[in-house]
Amino acid sequence: MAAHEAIEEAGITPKDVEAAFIGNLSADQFNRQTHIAPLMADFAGMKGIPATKCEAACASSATALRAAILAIESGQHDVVMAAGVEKMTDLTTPGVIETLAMAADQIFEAQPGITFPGIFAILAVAHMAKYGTTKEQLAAVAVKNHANGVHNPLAQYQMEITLEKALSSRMVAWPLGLFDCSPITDGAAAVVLTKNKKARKFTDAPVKILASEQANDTMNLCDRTDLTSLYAARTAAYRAYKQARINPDYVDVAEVHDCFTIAEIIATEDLGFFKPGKGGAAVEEGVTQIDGEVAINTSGGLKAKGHPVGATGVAQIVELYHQLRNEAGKRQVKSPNVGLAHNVGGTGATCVIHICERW
Amino acid sequence: MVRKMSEETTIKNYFALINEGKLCAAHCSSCNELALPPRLFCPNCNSKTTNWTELSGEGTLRSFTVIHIAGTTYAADVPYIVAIVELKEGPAVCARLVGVDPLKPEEIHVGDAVKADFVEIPGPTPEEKANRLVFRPA
Repeated sequence: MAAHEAIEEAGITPKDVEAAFIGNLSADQFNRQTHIAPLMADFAGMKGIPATKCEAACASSATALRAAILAIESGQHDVVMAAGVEKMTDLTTPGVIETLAMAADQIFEAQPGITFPGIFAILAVAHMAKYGTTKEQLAAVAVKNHANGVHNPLAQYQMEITLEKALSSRMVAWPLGLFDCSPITDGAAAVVLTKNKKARKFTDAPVKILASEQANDTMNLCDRTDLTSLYAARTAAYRAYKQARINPDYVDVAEVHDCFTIAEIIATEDLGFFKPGKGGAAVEEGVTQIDGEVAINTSGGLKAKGHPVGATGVAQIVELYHQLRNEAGKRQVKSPNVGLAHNVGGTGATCVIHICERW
Repeated sequence: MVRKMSEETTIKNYFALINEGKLCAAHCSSCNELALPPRLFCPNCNSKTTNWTELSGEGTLRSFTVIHIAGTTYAADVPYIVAIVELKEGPAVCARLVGVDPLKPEEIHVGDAVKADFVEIPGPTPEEKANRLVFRPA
């Protein structure tokens, strides 16, 4: 469906797509289905093309997007699809938790019994201890993203929540409660890319990708001396700003990887929007609201829009596409020029940053 | 010099040492780096001059969490604490923290002193029982 809509949006037919890169974390565990890329391309009506799966945990489809960009930049293809898909609800919640934990180090982290909420809870405890970040500040992320999700017809949760409700939710991995966590989601996202030179043939208002960068970090949290920031995110962001020839001040709208509320606070610091330790206060003060200095997660973020893990990276780009074309309806940021997508894989062992511009 | 496989700084041997009640790291005799998780090559200088060295087991909490909703394998264990422990010798490990009330996390603090211990976990057969590395308040 997402692929069909992207093809329709580009005003082309499936036969015009020359290659497809498809992000997916774990259809093998979730659905007992491997070889997902040709399957998805087949059902989208694309035959005879290279269809390749990209996997980098929850950053899978951002790496698919990056592969698509590189395929165009190399001169190999002119019209390429980047997509992502995940169907998570076939498993029970403990089954989903166990499957997602496979993106952490199985031997040294999963065996002691860590879960993904647990990993980000560990980052939250470190952030709270170092900077005094509060549970109220974490909850403010969820409240903001739910408020944004109300205006996104594709969001999983189109309902507001109160700070009290967020703070009183049941514990998942202390100090993170249910409303600190993104949900279990089925979803897909797709975009069609072409060379800059050809873009105007397809649309009067193309969105230009200024930078595509990716970096890795140690798989194990215990190998990192600083648990209040993601090195991969800082590294990829630094390179992306350099590639786009901008600094964080230029960014009007950003979709960041709020798999857990603490992750959004850390993301806004790693991306240079706020100084280390100031991300919590910024969300509390409304700086990251749709009408704020830098609008963060206008789509509702992973928290309210949903987090179909392998589809999330491209879903972020879809939101930026609509924002930069001024077609995001009630969640529209006022005339944004530059958008940034920050997609994190696993414990932060992968981070992919894309910067886009209204053209 | 050809080294016996049982002495190599592999993950398999790391857990064999845990079963003997020893917490060890891979020590590089070229640059003095201590690697934990162990590696066959020194992550600092890339040389293959790594040998096991036993650690004191003394450390401090770098961070921790209390798991209330676990995956299928550990669902029966909740609530339990998973901690990142910074060892006195430098490296850090991820392990359970026991001997404290997981329902009173506000009484546990980053920087608290902890000490390694080993608890027996049953295997599919009596011969396959194994030690699990845990930490307790020091």
